[in-house]
Amino acid sequence: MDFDFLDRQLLNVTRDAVAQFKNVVEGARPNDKELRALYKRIRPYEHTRALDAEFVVAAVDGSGEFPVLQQDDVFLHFAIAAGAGYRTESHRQHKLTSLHALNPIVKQYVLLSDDSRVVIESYKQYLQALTGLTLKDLVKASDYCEVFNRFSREKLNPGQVTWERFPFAKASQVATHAYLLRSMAELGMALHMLEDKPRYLLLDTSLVYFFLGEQPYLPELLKRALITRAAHQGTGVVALCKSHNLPNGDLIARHAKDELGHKDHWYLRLPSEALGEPIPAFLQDREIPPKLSVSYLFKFHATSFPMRIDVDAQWWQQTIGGDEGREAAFFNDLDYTCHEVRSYGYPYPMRVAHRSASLTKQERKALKDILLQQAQREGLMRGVLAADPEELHMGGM
Amino acid sequence: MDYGEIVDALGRDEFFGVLAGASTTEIVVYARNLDTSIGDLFLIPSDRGGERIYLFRMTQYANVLRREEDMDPMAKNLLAMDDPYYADDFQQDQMLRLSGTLLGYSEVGTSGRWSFKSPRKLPAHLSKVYKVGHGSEEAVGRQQGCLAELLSTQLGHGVFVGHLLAGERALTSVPVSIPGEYFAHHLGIFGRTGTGKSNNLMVLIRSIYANNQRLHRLPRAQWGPNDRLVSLFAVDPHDEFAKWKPGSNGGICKLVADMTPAERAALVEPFYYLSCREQSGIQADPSIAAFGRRVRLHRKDIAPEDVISIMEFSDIMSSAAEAIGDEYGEDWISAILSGDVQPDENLIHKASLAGLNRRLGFLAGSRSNLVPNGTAYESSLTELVLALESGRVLDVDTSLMTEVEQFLLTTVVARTLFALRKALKSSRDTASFMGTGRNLGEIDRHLAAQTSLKAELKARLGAPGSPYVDTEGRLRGLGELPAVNIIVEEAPSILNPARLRFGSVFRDISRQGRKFGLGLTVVSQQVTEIDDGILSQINTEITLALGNEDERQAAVHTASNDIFPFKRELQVMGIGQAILSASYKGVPIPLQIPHFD
Repeated sequence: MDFDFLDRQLLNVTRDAVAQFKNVVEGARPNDKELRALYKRIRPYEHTRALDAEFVVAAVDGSGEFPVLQQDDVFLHFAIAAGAGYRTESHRQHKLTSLHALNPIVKQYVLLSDDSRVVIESYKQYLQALTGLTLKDLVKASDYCEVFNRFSREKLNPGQVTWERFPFAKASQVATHAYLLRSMAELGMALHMLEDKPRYLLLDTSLVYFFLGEQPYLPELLKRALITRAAHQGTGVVALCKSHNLPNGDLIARHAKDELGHKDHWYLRLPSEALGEPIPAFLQDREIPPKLSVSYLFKFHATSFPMRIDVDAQWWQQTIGGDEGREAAFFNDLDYTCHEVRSYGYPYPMRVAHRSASLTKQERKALKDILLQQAQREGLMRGVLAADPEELHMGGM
Repeated sequence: MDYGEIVDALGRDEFFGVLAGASTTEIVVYARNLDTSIGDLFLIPSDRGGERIYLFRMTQYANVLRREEDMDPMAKNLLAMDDPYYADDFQQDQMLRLSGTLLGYSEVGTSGRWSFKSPRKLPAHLSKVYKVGHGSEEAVGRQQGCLAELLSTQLGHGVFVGHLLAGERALTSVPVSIPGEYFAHHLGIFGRTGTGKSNNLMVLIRSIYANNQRLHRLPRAQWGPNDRLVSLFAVDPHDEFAKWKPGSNGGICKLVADMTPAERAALVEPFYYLSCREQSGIQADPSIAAFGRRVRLHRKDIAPEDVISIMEFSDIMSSAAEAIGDEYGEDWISAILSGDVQPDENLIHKASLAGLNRRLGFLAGSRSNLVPNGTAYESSLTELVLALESGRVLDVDTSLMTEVEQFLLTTVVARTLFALRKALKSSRDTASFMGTGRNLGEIDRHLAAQTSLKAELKARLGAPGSPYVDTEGRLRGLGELPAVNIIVEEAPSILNPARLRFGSVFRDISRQGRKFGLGLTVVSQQVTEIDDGILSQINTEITLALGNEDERQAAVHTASNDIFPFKRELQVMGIGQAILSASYKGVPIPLQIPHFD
């Protein structure tokens, strides 16, 4: 940047921006009545020392380099998704035992260009590589059309879910594709992890459906396929959001601690439209809880901050169904997975999946080096081997 | 073994780690979570730019977890949180991060042999790293075999000093030696008390005998390029080298007993043990009776520079001593002590004369065991010099000598040998060395004042069996004579800068002794107290654990190779562990000196 940090005008606009930020935050504050109602829903649960029954827990996370190579309007993306599966062994020395000697990991390159035919073809191949399924298989195996129609005036039948109806952005809209590719990789891996028959499958995301009832969207189709298949085998898909996005959620955590004496090990189920409950005004239009879902604000341990989980409402009704004992048992199970020393306060399988999937700075560099070496062998000397155009421009070329 | 065979031999066992980073200053290896220790050696085969085996020595390591930057929070969790546990994958995530120095690499030279080179090149990315000493005994044997071959040019032959040390493990199949030739150069043995200096000397004595026995068995034409007989003047302040420690099988007496009669005749006789004790007392001890002699000097053997080298002398006193020496020759001490010397107004001031009297007081009357007062010339010096010129190890018991007497004996022997070697080098033939009729020989020029000693020396050196004359009566060259090494124990007492300020026999020997085949072994607990001029002439150092930072710093500064990476270890090395550095070796070598027993 090239400006004076003491410039009067900059100081003024900064002050205005902060004031505006404050207004918006405070404007989203629940009113006292809403807060009191929420406070009443806070429930403590016991720190988990032992389990009544052992279970399998799996987790998935994704990462990638979007794009890893670019020339003109051609983009090569690299997506990764990793899974981790553990069995609890609450009476043994190692309280969690790996299901696999090597955790599964998928690494895929996806080539996109501004030619929409190339985009669709690439996504077709990508979906096949991730799930081994065609679009038709996926629609058939999920309740996507059914739940779509709950929120849509125009009915969608399975035959109408085609590649052409998906709203693919231009390849040059890199951020949109990055989200799409990463979500698909994660959901594809999640489908794969169901084979371990886990009691819980943890995802590092939310269960939000932005386009449900408006237009078909590939990640949402995959999400429903996952939830449908999980429900059939009794697996609960638990989407864990480290950012709860609850306006003034800190007020609730403070109340739990200061007024109720629960510095940790508490949860609060938010009113859910999927359960036919009225939504407080401050949460309306915020997708909290998301459509078809039940959400909890909760805190595992004093060392971690309040987080949110979304679970599918249908699974919730079958498994918990408003029973506080079963609800507490659910949190006891999750709490148990948070006691590994490397990730105390956060489910260890999630930590492992994240660790497996994430690319360090050095790994990103090494990946590019490998690609460039390959590109050199293939005679791709123009563009890909040149410095980034912006870097060149800014460097004074 | 060629490169492929070595890689195959190493590859039969699990590799220990993978090279993560390599620069000219540091090597970083990620390794399995297995037992290791500072100083471990690793082999890194790499064929980038040529088939080479790199040698890495680990100087630091850390426990790390795969993909975890910081273990502090985990430790805190274990301590403070309720019911923390490890998942079963914790063990597979445990790794070691090793870092250290690339000592160099070996590659096959034009001669077809492996030669070791300084680290001017680096191994390729992610090369596999093999630890020497890891795995089954069979695997360790293979690793040692590879290492011995790769380092053959560095390990040397001749006088064994110890086994290559990898971490805490002495690689008994990888002996490290100093060629005999380099005992004519100067050696430093530095280490604080209790680190094994005496044991080191004892091992050296055994190895010198072994070297001499080996060469005795070989025709001279088959000697290697740096092979040479070695003579050692071993000052023994605790009278332990002959019999070694109580409970042992014996020291030199055992080594000598194990020799064949021919070896004893060639390498030991007529004596190896010298003491101030009466001959009858020596004879009474059966273990040394056959090869023990009473050692004595005569005042006539002592030159002014001998006492100037070992005692505090002012400039004026030194001049006075030299002037008296010029006037009275070999009788200068008797002249001073008997009051024959008269002060004058030029060089011999009254105060200087009084000072000289005081300094030489230890030789007056019958005060000295080493230099008894006697009119007739009776001295061991000739026998002693002849023995050293014949490839002998002399164990000189100085336990009954005062410190000054010990230094005096060492100085007189060193100066006399130095003078004889110089005379020999200056001579064309026996006649020019000995002199004929009225023509003075080189021996007369270099031992100008010691008339009595010269007479004995001439008689013995001219006689059959003289070490200076070959079987055909020709004067031997210096290269044919043994490398003579003189141990200077408690070196700081006579090799400190203040003592050397006005000149010293040892300063001359340190500067020039090498070319005359005469070396010093400087033994000290302190490096800092020794004159820089002397230190700069030492080109082989055996550095054991040192007591303080200053000494370690000085040892690093003095070493003939860069031993900076070993500096921290100099503080913690165990008994007998040492770093061998030498100007003729490309790399400092960690050693485990074995117990003599």
